[in-house]
Amino acid sequence: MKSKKLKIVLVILLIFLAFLALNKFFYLNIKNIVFSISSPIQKFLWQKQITMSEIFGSFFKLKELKIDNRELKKENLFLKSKILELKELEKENKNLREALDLELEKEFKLILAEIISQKSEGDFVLINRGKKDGVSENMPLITKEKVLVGKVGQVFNNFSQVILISNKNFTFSVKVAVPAGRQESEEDSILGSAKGKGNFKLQIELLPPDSPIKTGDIVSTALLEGIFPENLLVGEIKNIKKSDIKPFQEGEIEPYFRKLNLETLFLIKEEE
Amino acid sequence: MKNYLLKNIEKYLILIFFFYFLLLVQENFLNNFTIFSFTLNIYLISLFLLIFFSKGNFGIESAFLAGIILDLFSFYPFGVFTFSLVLTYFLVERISQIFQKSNVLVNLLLFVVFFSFYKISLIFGNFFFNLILDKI
Repeated sequence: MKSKKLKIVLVILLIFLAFLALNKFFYLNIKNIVFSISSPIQKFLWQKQITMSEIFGSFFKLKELKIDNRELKKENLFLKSKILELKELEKENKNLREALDLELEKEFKLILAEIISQKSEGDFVLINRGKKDGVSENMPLITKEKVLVGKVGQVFNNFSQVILISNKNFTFSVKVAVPAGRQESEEDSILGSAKGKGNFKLQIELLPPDSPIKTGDIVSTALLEGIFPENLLVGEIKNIKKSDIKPFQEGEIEPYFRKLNLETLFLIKEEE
Repeated sequence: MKNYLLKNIEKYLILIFFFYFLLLVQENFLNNFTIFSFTLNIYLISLFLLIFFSKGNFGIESAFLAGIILDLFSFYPFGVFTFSLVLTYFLVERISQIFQKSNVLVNLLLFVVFFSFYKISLIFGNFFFNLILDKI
């Protein structure tokens, strides 16, 4: 009986040591091989999933879509008038640039990436770009609409782990754009901090108590910490909790990346 | 030991493919859908059913292989899922012995214990492995 127990303990110890050795010496290589073998199937399934979620999504959200459509029509008219204004400003800007001999606007150097799978252990995804493609830790991942998705975590040879902005313990600085009619001071945006809550939820914190933020206001990245470039879209305010006890306002953000089909994404390599 | 492994190799292969298939469904379909902030974890539900409606060593073997598959595809250090699932299996098996009769309510309770302990052991397992790997 005693020798049987001893055998079990020895087997467990051996397995444990084998796992430690694997982690220490072969972790990145093994994961890269496993992901390489599985990625064609997973990529195919991920694309099918996008199509399926589109079909199911529109089926369950018919009522919501009608309201959205109405709102979008209104917004469209408003934006058309804004475009006219901006065209005038563009002309003015172009003339000023020529006059001042300024460089062209700074642009991002991008790496095209595709999602392969979404992990169960938190808000992580696996993408098909790795060390070989020039990916390094902390690179921001965005959509073609300039919506922030997350940042690179672990980097393998051909693949990378992306930590979604909704991941627990993910914190970054943001700003909330306040429409012209609601501005109380000269500032057109209010700084705050976004924090991931897991399960695709995002919270906004550290907003000044008297700031005139409302549901629907647009949240974008701020340059305070320097992890992300400025003005990447994050989401819109879902709700705001004002409390007399707390020194700051906080609320929930509806992340934009959840509304989009994450088919084609871009890693921001560096600012040129 | 060798004979035992050879005899069961077919069973292990079937189990490996079964868990791999479940993982594909979970990672490429179900993880993207949330119902009231919850994601349906078909991988764990299937493992639970496999463990508690099987006889002999099949339960522990299933837990071990399911852990290995999760370890290979996750971003956690190797071993975290395997140890968590094997530990959870032993704990829940002990608890299930307390109940003399098995019914829906008991199975539901066991699943809640199984799921909760799995989540807790995963957090501790990850922390523990990272701590050791940082030291060596």
